[in-house]
Amino acid sequence: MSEPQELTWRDRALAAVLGGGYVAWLLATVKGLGYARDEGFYIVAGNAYARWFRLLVDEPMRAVSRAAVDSHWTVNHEHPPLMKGLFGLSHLLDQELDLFAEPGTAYRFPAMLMAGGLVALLFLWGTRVAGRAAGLVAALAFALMPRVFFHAHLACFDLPITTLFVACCYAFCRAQESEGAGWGVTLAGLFGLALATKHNAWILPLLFACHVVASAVGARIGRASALAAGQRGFAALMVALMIGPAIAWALWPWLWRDTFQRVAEYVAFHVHHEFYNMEFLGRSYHEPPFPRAYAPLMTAATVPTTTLLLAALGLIVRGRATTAALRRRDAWAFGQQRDVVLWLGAILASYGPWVSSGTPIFGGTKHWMTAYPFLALFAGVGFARVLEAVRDAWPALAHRATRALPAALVAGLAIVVMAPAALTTARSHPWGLSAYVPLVGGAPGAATLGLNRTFWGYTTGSAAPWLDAHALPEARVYAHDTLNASWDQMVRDGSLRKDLVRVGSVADADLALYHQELHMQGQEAQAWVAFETVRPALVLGPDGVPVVMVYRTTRGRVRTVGDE
Amino acid sequence: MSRLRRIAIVLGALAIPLVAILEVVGELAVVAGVPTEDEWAAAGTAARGLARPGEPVIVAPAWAEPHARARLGDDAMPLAHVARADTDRFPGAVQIGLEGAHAPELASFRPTEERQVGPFVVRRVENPAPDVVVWDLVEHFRPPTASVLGTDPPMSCVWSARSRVLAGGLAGHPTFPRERFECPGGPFMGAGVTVITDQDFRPRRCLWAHPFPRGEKVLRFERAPLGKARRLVGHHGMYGIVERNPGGADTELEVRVDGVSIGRDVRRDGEGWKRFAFDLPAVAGEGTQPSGSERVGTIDLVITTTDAEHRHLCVEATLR
Repeated sequence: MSEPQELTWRDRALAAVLGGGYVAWLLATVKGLGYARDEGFYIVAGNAYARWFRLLVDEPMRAVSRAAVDSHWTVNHEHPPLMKGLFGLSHLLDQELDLFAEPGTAYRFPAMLMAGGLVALLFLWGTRVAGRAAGLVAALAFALMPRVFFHAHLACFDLPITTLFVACCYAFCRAQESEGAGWGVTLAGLFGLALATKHNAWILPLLFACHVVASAVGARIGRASALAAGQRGFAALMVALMIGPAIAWALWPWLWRDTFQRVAEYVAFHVHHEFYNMEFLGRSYHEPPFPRAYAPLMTAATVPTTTLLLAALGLIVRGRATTAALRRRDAWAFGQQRDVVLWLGAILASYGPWVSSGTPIFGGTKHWMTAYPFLALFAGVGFARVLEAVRDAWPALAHRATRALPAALVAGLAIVVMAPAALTTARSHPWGLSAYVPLVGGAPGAATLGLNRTFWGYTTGSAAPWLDAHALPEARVYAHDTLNASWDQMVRDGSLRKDLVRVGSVADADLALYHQELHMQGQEAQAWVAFETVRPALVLGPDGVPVVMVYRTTRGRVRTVGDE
Repeated sequence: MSRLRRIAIVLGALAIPLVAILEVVGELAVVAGVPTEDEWAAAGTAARGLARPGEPVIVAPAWAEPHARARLGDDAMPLAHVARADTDRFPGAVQIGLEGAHAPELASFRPTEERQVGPFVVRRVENPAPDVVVWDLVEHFRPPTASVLGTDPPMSCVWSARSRVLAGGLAGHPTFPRERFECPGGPFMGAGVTVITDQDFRPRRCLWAHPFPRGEKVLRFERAPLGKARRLVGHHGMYGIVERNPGGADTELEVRVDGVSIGRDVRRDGEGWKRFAFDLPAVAGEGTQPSGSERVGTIDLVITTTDAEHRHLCVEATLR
């Protein structure tokens, strides 16, 4: 294997196009995507933090007082502040500049930018390690994972932490190969931002420590200096551990006072997080033991199969190169695999918690989404191997001197291997959490297997046009799993009518939504008895799989019009 | 390069693009398999044509059922069928099967008629050994047939045809319906026809019968046609979310006919939707078979517990 390739301005330009294009696609498809439960919480928090930012500008001394900090930063203090702060700032900016068609998009925009940034970074890293074609496929393979595409729209932390996780890993690799302190300091800064984004950033030091050990052991086997091989990585890790938490603390005013007590609270919240329900193979799990097959099976069911195969190929190719280097006791060749060893480590670290049957599964695939960029990078390497195989099989196709395949052929093959991912992802919207790949029969096959169809109540957005057309003025609506704040944001966006009255019980409603989840089946039954009908007025979902339904009362004050 | 190695390389080079093409085909096959509005409508029409009075329309796979309910409505798919206690009771059923799917609960039923409608097979099936219901206690849970009593302190619950409907919302109690018996102690102590979702989250239509803190709760049915039946068969269950957290007190269901106990069943957390069956008392000269006589009597479903907290018991019973 060759040394890492130096990136050119063309690479950076192409990365910008890929990242920018992804953000543009997200913006173009965000309209009408209902707000997930967690987004509702984070929007409320973002507003509170935005008010504090205004106060900080207007009256800085008052803003940093205990009373002001606590009153603004108490909201959702169980989660770190960075993204919520950015959501709030973006909202302020939108208020000033009127940037977005729907005000809610302002909250979502920072996470979209992070997603675009990650796509760009994957292109650059893939290019650096295995060439431009690999980089291109790595970027596309990640961007075209249906669940990733869904989460990339949301004002949540899952995509941002994935971006920062990868950025930290990239900086760590660069820090090990560069003489100066630049990349080490960059890593420390990124690690601080990651800590201020989501708690799974704490996996990183462990990952880096393991990588340092692996580098040292590899060097030792290759009869090189273990100390020399591990010292830069160790130094970078130490700097990150010293500076990163300080940055996170500085970014989180809630921790400025009573620091230890509040950090302990934060840790306790996540260590003792309550278990929510998740359906898997027809059973609703709400307490340990959780099924160990969940993470691998859900990955196979939701990540395009071709992408996984490419990743497997890439892993095999680089795995063989690494073990061969060790067998040959070739420290230099082993060192060239530094990045891919970290990629593998990142995948293992991201899935690691789900080896335990005590780890909750309620978040679905998003909880191990930090593994997906590395799967994508391996997919890029796998694609590079496919190109090599094509060149070996049909040597006449390659350029005589450079042995490069024609760009059109490479592009064509990239299109072919990314076509299923593109098709599945494009069709998944706006049912991202219901999206399954053809390997399990798509959404219908997954429903038959008893895999979760939806959660978070965001599919109210899909029912909104029907409500707009059919609900009588001031109709009372039971929105089931949709958070009040999420409903309110849809009203502010103009996706839901202002006159609709949200009620907390189907018994008080004229219309009732039901977001299908196995353990919430009782909600639908509540509507049947209260409305004295089992006939839904609306059934919506991907490929005929019911995900959101609307019932309307047959009794009393009927506030609906028309039949289907 | 050897010929074999070259073939291996060619196959290797083509394998993943080939899988990609297959995956695209798979995605298109998923799209092609989705029934259209017209196909659903045609399946509904076929089901109506095949169904006989009192027979349920059952959809396979079960997840597709809301589409059938949306098209067939409450007359063809009434609540009693959709939230059925069992399928033993039905002499036949109509199955709407998508892409050859079968409902496991109809596995023992024999097909008699079948129509292919687009991606559906609409099939009438007959129960080889129906356990036919003579009298459904749930259907008669209203005055003057039914009453609800308590023993400690002695009380009689009041029937209301226009109670305030109450529903528990997220993770809350099942709906307390408009028509129900109102008992002292608040709405949980009342009794009425509702639907719970059992431990497997299947809907079950039943009588909400939360026990009283003390004494017996008696759901009384008068002038029940005992002469036409042989057994009393029923089920009891609790809202799955409540029952899956064990630790609640046992509840006991006793069935009395004309004041004489014919059976008891103790319910423990985790038992799910549980069947019980008790023979009706034989009358001199009638043996154990239904006599077809006009003999009528009083059936009491008597519910007790040692600790009523979160005992969201729901019961259904039939004379068969």
